[in-house]
Amino acid sequence: MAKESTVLIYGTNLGGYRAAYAFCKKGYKVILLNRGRYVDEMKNQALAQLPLDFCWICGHMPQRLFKAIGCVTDCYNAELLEVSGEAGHFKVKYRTKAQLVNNFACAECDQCIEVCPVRVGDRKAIFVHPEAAWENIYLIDWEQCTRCGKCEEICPTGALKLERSEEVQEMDVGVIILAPEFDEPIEADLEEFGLGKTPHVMKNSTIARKSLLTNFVRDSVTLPSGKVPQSFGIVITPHFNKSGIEYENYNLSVSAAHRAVKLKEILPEAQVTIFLRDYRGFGKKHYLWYKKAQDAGVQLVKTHKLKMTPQGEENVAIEYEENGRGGTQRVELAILITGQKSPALMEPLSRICGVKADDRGFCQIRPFSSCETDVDGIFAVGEFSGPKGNPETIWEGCAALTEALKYLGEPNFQRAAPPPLKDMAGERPRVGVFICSCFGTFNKRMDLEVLRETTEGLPGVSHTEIIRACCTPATIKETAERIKKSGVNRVVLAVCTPLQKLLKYRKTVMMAGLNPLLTEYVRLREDVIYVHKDRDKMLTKALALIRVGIERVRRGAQASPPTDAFTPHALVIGGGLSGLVAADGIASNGFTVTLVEQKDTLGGHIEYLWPAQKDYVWSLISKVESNSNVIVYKNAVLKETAGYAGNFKATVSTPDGDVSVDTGVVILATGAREYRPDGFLYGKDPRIITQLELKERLPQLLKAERGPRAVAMVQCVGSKDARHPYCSRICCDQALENAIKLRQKNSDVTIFYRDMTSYGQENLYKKAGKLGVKFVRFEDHHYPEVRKSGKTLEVVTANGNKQEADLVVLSTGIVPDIANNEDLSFLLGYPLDADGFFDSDANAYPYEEAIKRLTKPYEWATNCIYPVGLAHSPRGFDACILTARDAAGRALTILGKKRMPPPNAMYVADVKESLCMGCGVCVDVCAYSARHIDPSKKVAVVHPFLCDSCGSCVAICPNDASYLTDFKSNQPIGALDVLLGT
Amino acid sequence: MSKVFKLDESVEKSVKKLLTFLLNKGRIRGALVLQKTDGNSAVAYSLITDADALASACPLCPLMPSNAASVLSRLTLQESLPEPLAVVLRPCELRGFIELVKHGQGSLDKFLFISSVCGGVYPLKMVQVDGSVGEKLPQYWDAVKRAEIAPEIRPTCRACERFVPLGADMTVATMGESGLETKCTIFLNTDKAMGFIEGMEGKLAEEKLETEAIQQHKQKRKAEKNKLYDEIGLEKYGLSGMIDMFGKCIGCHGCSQVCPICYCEVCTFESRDLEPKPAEFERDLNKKRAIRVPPDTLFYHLGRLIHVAISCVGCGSCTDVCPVDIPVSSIFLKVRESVQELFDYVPGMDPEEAVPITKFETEELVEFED
Repeated sequence: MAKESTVLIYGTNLGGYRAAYAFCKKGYKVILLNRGRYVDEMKNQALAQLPLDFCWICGHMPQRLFKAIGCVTDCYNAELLEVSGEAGHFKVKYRTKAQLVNNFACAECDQCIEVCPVRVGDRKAIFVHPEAAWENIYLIDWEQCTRCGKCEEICPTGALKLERSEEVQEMDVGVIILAPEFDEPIEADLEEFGLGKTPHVMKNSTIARKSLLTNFVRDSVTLPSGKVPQSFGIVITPHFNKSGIEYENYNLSVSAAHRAVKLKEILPEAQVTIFLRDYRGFGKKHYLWYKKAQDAGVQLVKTHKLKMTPQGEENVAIEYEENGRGGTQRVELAILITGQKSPALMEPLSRICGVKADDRGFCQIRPFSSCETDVDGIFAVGEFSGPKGNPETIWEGCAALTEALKYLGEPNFQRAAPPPLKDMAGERPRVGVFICSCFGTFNKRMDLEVLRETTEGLPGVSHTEIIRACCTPATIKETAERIKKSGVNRVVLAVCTPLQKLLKYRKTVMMAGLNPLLTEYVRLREDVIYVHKDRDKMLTKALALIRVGIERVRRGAQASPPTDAFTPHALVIGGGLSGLVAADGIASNGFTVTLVEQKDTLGGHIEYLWPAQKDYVWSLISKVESNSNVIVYKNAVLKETAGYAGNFKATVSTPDGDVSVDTGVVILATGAREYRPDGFLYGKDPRIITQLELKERLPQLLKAERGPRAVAMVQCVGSKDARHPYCSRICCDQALENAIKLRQKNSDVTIFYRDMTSYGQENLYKKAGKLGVKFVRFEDHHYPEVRKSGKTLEVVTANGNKQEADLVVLSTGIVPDIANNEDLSFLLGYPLDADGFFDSDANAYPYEEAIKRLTKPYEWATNCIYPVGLAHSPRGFDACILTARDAAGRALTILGKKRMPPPNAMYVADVKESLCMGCGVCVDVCAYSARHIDPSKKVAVVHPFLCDSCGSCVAICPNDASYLTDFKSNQPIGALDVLLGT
Repeated sequence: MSKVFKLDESVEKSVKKLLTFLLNKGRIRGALVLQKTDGNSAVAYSLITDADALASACPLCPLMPSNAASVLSRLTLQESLPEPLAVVLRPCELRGFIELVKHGQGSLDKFLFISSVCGGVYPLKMVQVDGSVGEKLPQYWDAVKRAEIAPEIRPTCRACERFVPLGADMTVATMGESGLETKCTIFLNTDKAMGFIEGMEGKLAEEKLETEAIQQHKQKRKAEKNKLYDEIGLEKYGLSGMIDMFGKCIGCHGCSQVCPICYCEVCTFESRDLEPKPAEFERDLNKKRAIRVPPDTLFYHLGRLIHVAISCVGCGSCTDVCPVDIPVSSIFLKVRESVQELFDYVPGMDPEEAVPITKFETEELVEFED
């Protein structure tokens, strides 16, 4: 029986969205069950916590836009009812009810609001959701609604229907992906902290949401009395809350530091204190926020105990214990940085699908998998399977593709071919101005007919027309027909805004056979109607904008997106854990892989792993080596590379000579190494060792009758300092695991630490504490000293406390192999970050850098080079596997494509050969190596696959020979001329 | 102190003797020198492979019929020289060529550059209109001998402070050399130059190139330059001054034709791209009621100024050819000086140094936090 191909995704967390995107790209139909009434009513982790005051909606916009292509079926008000069958052949039953206003059909004309007779405060009974900023979501206040039906009557697109019936659907699907959203602690969960009892306590996400919408940060912290607080206490709650209520995911410490820094920015005189147990900056760059907060004058109080008591109407008292001394601080506003609750949906979902919960109530993932649950073919992604960082929640989406493809049948979705475009080269420009009336609503605000008449006489304009709209399937078709009929070869569309509807407008003109480069979109609603009241002003401005559009299209020239063949092959550099996982992920899904390892064995730092992990790596090695899709070169290194995303040519030097490899993608899994400490008498005494050395020695130590009497561990050796300003993530876990094992052998274990940053292993910390491992905190840079007096070893703290030890264990972090990384960075043109790891930009710290890469598909964002595992950043075993599977997933979405357009399609630079002298200044300034001089013709040549449309070449060219296809120099000049001339 | 080669003939004869030696020995395939035209009324650059043809050569004649930089660029644009070629050229021409090579418009391979400490050149018009340069030669060399500025040489040359060649293999000493009618001192700046003269009759010695006389002459040129700046008074110009100064332009684009730095074959100002469309005339007329045609005269000159300023070597060819006597070079001189100072850049000095506009400083690449 053929396997099913459709994928069911339950929930709308970022991992779920990413998975939907990946499966669609790969050609699988997706059913997306959203429990909410509209997109993101159920908030995902980023939206719920708003770390760094950034909602990240634009970051996953591309995957939402993907819905428009038609391979995602969106189900709103949905609930999963039954699951039966097995992997590849699930039968699912779900309930769904269509949206009140269908987002995709709605033109946002607001007529429904205008006709609504029921006024409720400053809004009507039908209203636009005030907090979802990126698309207008229409809601009905059912308590006030009189069911008069006027809104439905007037709706020009039929998007609004008051009565929607509930449907129960049964579908056959191949795999199920569970992606339920974030469970935020509610008021009752935070009663310990006085939330809701006094206005002096607020949740950080509330403040973030307020300032996000209004941009008035000061207002967002103002007390109801109108007073702006002058003292703030920022409390990271999970560790001070009752056990089992909330868990810390990885946004909290950074959120706290960020909030503190921002408060200091707007209120420099205010006293800002962060109360926390440990500073846990897990990700790339996260530790830098700690430094930033300190530099901004923020006080940090690290305490194990905390109690908050409201003091009448005035303030809140925060009692704490720092270094054994108690203290109290009164603050006017306490800001709670809250964690994550275990998912409420765990219980119903385990009932329906059979998935199991782990000991904290999150969905359990099977060992060594990144997202597969205990049930074959059912995956869990994002915050549903445990507290984690935002990047991790997203990576799991593509990792799910890597792991799930084996259960799916043949792809069942094919994207419709784009409409054929007419060749208009050499034609005299005939501009058509099409003014959208938005189903007659714009007419009421301004006189469109006058606007049209005035436009008619402008030079170059051969046709003007008022259209109904071009944003619903019917009106897109209608407008396309009108454009065709008018016989124009350039189009100016005066519409609401291309910000949301660009793809629809592009579709409209392309259906009319026009190259998108011959069209301009003027924002009649956002730039004119919404911002002006005076009708004459509106007309003047609209006319000016339309004239700019006309001048631009008159000078525009058509160009088609170049395409290039895509080599269906992957080159994996590094045969350690991450490299093996990536190679296996790609090879077992049917694509060929070349794996290059510089040592003579695969497996990397296998000696440092626990037995079960070792077994996993051994099995992976034999799986990869026996897979006929994989060619392994040992004792080999990358020698040279040429080419570009999709078509790299690599030369690998092997013991048997150089081998040339043509590859579409490159996965960098070069790993990193353990930091070797200087100081702490390391290397001077055999009893002073690193955590990894202890791990190797541990079986022997444990076999002995009794372990070493006293063991002292020093954390953060060579970490979080000027040379390595980051947390390596794994040292605390290692220390705790080793400490527990030794303690069970009755050793006295003392851990000297700055912050216990156990990465997702909170229970280890608790267990160690329970077993009697002693924890001694030291201040940031006041490390304890290791001394040797006679035969005994001593650890002496900064305040003079001495502790004897038979064994001193230094917890050292991970440092990149800088020399090797620099070589590869040079060979591949892939930058390193300040710490020497590969700088993966959008993926590493999505909330900061995503916007830069917003308009590119993810798999292209890093030009088909994916750093994974320790080459990417310091991380543990499971986290390495995750990055590798994410990269494999992203590679899999494109590896099967025959031809691909470049990342920027036709919006790239080009050269007018008749003006080019081949002087090469443009080659010198091109930061993307996208240009070279043709040696025979002596003219510059652009490689569209490398060009990032930055325009440096345009600015530098002395003869105007270089230009951007959508921004030729005379276009803006012409536009400026008309603006200045009118 | 540098190595010199001494000959017992006048400077001009010595240079010819040197070229004859090199040609006869087969050390060079040919020579590029100034030569009198048939009627003796003008000079032009000629490529010579036969030593006999040197009879009518006048390698140090104080005229610059065209900038040798452009000639050399044309010779080596497609590929570098197959065999060695000796070129006798002025310091500004050599700097111009090195600048062109940096812009990918030629190659320095296999050239033997022979230059001289330059006393300046006469305006081209002198040779065309009255052919009087021959008569002026005695007073020219007399001024050079005394390290004075020769009367009547071009304003650009009077104001030029870079009259000592940069990057030449051999430099003929002239300025302040009292016996230049009977003796010649040639500085051998490179090992290559040493190799070329090996076996030639003459004396090897050591001498200092930048003599006291040269230092003093530099001061005189600087004073001339400041005088020129005062005359032009660029600071007071403003837009109306510019329009006035360039208003005379007839649009022949001769300045860009002769400019060694204007290396584009078809200038964008001459291409269809910038040609105004009828509707633009219409629009401008509606606004201003009267416009000059063809438009954009000033735009052309400013555009050229922007593109040329960083690399301009101050050869003065543009002023030389202007049929309506616009002091183009003097205006460019002032602007290029401030631009080049800003980037601490001397065009044509070091072939390895990148043109400032093509390189990023590290601090420019630092991204903003948050």
